[in-house]
Amino acid sequence: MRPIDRGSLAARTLLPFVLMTAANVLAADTPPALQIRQTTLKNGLTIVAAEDRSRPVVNLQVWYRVGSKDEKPGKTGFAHLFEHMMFRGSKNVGPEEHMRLVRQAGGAVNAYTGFDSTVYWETFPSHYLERMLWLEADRMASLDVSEENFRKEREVVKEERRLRVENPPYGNLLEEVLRNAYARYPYRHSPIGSAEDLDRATLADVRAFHSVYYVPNNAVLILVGDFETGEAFRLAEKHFGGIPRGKPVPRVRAKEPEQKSRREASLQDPKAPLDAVVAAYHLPPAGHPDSYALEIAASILSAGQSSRLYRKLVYEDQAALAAQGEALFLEGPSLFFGYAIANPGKEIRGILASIESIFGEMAEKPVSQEELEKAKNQILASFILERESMQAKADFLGKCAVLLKDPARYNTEIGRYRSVTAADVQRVVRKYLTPDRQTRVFIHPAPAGGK
Amino acid sequence: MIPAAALLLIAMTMNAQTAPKAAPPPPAPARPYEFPRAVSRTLPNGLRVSVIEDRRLPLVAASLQVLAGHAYAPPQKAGLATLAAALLREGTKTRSSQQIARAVDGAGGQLNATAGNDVITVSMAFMLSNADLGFELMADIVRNPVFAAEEVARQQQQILSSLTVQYASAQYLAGAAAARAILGSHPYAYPGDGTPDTIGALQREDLASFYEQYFAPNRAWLVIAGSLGAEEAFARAEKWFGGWRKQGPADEPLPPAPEPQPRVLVVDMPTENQTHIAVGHAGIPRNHPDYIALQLGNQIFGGSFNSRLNMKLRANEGLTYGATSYFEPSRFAGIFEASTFTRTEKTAEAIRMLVDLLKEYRDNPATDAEFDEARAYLSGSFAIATETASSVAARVLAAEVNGLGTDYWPRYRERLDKLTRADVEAAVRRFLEPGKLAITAVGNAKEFAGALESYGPVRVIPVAELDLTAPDLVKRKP
Repeated sequence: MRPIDRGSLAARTLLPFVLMTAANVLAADTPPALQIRQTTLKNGLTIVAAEDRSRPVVNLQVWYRVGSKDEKPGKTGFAHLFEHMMFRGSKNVGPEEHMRLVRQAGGAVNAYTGFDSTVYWETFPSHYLERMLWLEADRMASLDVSEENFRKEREVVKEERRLRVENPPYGNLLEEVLRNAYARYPYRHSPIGSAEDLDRATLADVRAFHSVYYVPNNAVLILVGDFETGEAFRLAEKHFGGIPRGKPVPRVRAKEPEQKSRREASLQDPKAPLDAVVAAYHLPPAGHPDSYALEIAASILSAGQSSRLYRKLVYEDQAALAAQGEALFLEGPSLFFGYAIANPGKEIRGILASIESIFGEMAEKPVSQEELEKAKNQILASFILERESMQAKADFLGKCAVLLKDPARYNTEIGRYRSVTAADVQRVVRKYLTPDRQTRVFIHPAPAGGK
Repeated sequence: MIPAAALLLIAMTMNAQTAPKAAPPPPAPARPYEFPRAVSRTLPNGLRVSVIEDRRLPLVAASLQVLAGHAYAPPQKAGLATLAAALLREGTKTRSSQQIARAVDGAGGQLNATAGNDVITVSMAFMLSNADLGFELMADIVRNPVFAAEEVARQQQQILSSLTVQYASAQYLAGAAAARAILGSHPYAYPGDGTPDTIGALQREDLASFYEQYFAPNRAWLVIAGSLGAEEAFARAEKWFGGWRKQGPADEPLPPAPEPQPRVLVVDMPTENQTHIAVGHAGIPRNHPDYIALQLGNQIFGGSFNSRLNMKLRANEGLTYGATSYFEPSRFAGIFEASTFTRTEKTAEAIRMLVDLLKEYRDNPATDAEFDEARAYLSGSFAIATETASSVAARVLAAEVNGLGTDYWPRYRERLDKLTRADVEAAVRRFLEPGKLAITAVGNAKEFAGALESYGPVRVIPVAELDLTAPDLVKRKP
């Protein structure tokens, strides 16, 4: 009838071929292993290096174990504001000179602040390795920011907040979800923080934060690329070795109480033109044995146009502009998000009911072998496709070293995904994606004319 | 006798007072780097194929570009190329949309099609053991799409919904409106995603005939990169695309960009507390002889964190989180634009600074130090910019599609080395016309529109009345 129907026969013949090659994938295509070496300096700085001489390029990252969860009440957004200050001058490097010295070398530089950690990185031609180590060591050892530059930079950060949160459609949705999903744990607020709290921050806060958290015993130096590892360790010791060890670093002690019943909130947003929903479920932390089956579940739900949520909500029902399920694994209590944006005229509560029933099916019945293999192939492919550059490798190596607390997991994580069974997927969906653990937040366009 | 401890104290105090800054350690000798070698051949059907062998990963990627981009759709059908590209994956003569999706996802592969100003790009990336499946699927969606009415309606709805969200974004609208303010009614001026009206009006027949007319091997380039030797790769190209026997129209040039004219376009979004600003005029095509000199100059003006523009607006004034300038060159014309965003009450001030900086830049395009730094950056970053197989492939393809010549990238740094500060200054002065800028601002208009009259005639259009394809940008009354 329709031309599309003529394809189904071909598909039946295609499918076994796909399955056959899919099975072959696991044997033939293995992501290349990194040769990882680790050392710790006397002052507590951990250094993790992986030599890759295929291009004359190095990526260097300094991970500090401090993020938005470490912020004091009334000082939300401070870890990120502080990150900006790290470019405003240190003992031997004037304001913005850091950027310039990297750039003159042909390098790229940036930083980002998360819930758990703050990461500074440079990618550069390999013969500039010592300069980059010197730059990072200088701002770990000392910070030299003027009151005037502090005030200007705070305005820059407030513009960033307007750009990311206050103005775009759905910009404040994440904040609303976190505030409702967490009762106590300091993931209750996002790294960008509140504008009022940013205004409360002072230069004295900046200095205190540096002396507490920006110490070698709270940092991990990651190096990936074109160097000889022994020489890289020697240069790192030369520049970082003289920085005194700091006091033991305070850690978050809050415990998130177990959620006993479903929570619901809704938000009127004059900028959001379509209804949307997020359903958040509490999960264990990153690296938990159940996290791998949960990632496989997320892949089955969301990865590609054959995924369950896309197929049902976007393709078949045409109810949603987008529908996804994904896990956000953090160092502390983590979350699984199911979310969707409704097409015009579609009922958002009906869409959420569909998402929940798709989760329900996965809890009721094991996923097929075909879907399981598909998810494993997608994850394997992402290990290869998404770790092409030195920087992408260092990102994951840093995550292994800091979040999973063992850099060697860079090479072994893939094995944990490979050993997940259909029964594991069913078990974790049944255990974690339950109504009692859910926080649902609806976002609705403000009524015409607004208030 | 002064005790040693006191001497030390004096030394330390002096140190603190004079605070001599240490210099950064010097670089080691640079490791040599050559742009990876590409081998190119033209198949008998006119398809030009380039291959880059890179065995670092068990991966094969390919991209095909066809001269069927936005510029080939008339303004009243804006979005046609985007919708056509979206439909390629949604069904062929032998595979349904979901069959394609299952085949791609099952192998952990990637298969995508997107539209740009000049070309539709179809790309795939598969693990080595599934590379043949990747080529088969890619060739199928390139050669046999059916544009089934049901799938067209579905993709139309998806694009309409995403436009509904985009139209709530001042950032999106500033980019789209600036293209019209700068390029007027040039084929590159219209939004590639179309508008709710143009997307809604497209028919299955529009897509099928657009595809029939423009998708042909003599209008296409293919690049293959990854764990295949040149002969293996050419054999795949021949096998999957050699039988593609169609002859499309010859590659006719598009008209040049319009002459710059001063004008101010304000899109009013009263809900915003931040204004998105884009200032510029027509740029240059990608194959323009001044391209490298202007790129280098742009590094100095607004192409980097330490550029004059960002240092002034962000670092020194705290007006914005970012201010950048860039060239968007297409095959026959381009855009030069400087853009930023700032809180509503600083809008006029930020625009004033930006325009003043452009004037000052034309008078004084580069100091020796700025020139040296920008050149060192472009040269030094080349190995990083071409680090992955996919980034090399993208550059090889750009050289082919824009007719830059096969030695363009291998000799790129050599050309940079030969550039002088005088070359850059001359190119900037030939090009830049800071008295004839098109200024676009999207935000809460009543707070700043009145202050922009000195730059040219000001038009304020409420966002609900904006029509990005209408000659005067305003929706016709029903």
